[in-house]
Amino acid sequence: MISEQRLHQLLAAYGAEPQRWPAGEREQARALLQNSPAARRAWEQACSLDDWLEQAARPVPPPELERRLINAVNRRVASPWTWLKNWLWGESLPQHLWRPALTLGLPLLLGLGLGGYLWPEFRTWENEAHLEYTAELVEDAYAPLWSEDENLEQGELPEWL
Amino acid sequence: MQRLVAGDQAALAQLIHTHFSALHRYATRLLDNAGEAEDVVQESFIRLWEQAASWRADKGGLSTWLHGIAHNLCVDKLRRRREAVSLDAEGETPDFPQLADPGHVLEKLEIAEQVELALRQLPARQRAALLLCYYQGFSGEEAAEILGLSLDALESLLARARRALKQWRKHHDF
Repeated sequence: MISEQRLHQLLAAYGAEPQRWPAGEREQARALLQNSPAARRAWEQACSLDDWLEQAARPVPPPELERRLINAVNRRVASPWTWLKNWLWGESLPQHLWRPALTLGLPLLLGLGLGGYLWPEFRTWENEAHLEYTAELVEDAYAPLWSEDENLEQGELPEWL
Repeated sequence: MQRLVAGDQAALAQLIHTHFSALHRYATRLLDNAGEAEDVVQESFIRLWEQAASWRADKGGLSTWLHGIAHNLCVDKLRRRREAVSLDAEGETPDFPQLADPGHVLEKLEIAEQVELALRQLPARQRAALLLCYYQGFSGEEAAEILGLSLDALESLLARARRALKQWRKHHDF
């Protein structure tokens, strides 16, 4: 049988609910409680605080938090291959749509940008400006020759040609 | 757990689903900060994944183990917070929030809010012991294991916490 002092210690620590008392002392404590008016008074006092503590609100996590947490943990623990697959393919339906589009579109844009930078003659507007500039140079260079043959008919070639 | 050790992420998701709410509730109440609690819960499951192989069923339940990890992470956060506070205020900041007119403010609170407020006034170790035994459903032995204490030390913490709450109630006429 446990002592009355020990029962008071149990009530002071675990409160009035026997389920919280250590399993090995529970039955003896219950028996003592039935036989001791002083212990019963201590038990009733403990009940009051227990009832008050019972009324604490239970924090409820936001509903979307679990899904967010699973995704975050999965990302952290994923192998490099899984990480790459998730990054390219996405993890939800909307992501399955835009991620592959982005995956294909990004290299295309990168290729065009890189190509334009490495081979500027492929850039049409610059090509046209270059041609115009060349034409002006040619015209200026041959201007004296053209001027000698001002009397030529349209389409007729000068003698030196 | 065997699936977890084998690297099965679906098993991890299942464990998160099972233990998430309890762990989140514990961390939120202990830290009194939803953002930090979320970090703690996330980090706890990552540690579970990394250390799954070292878990032994005969050394306690998985929930006890997870709560132990979460508790240590919470203690780290509280310690950092205390260091930050002491650096900011050169140690003059009180442990508990000071209410301008406690009686006037408190009498307007619902009982649930009174209890939450009272729990927040407790020192972190007493609060942790009370939360584990009264709200998380752990036995004294399990709670002592989570906190890394002997059963006697846990009972002493619980008794001090209950005594403080009783005085707090008496002081505020609840």
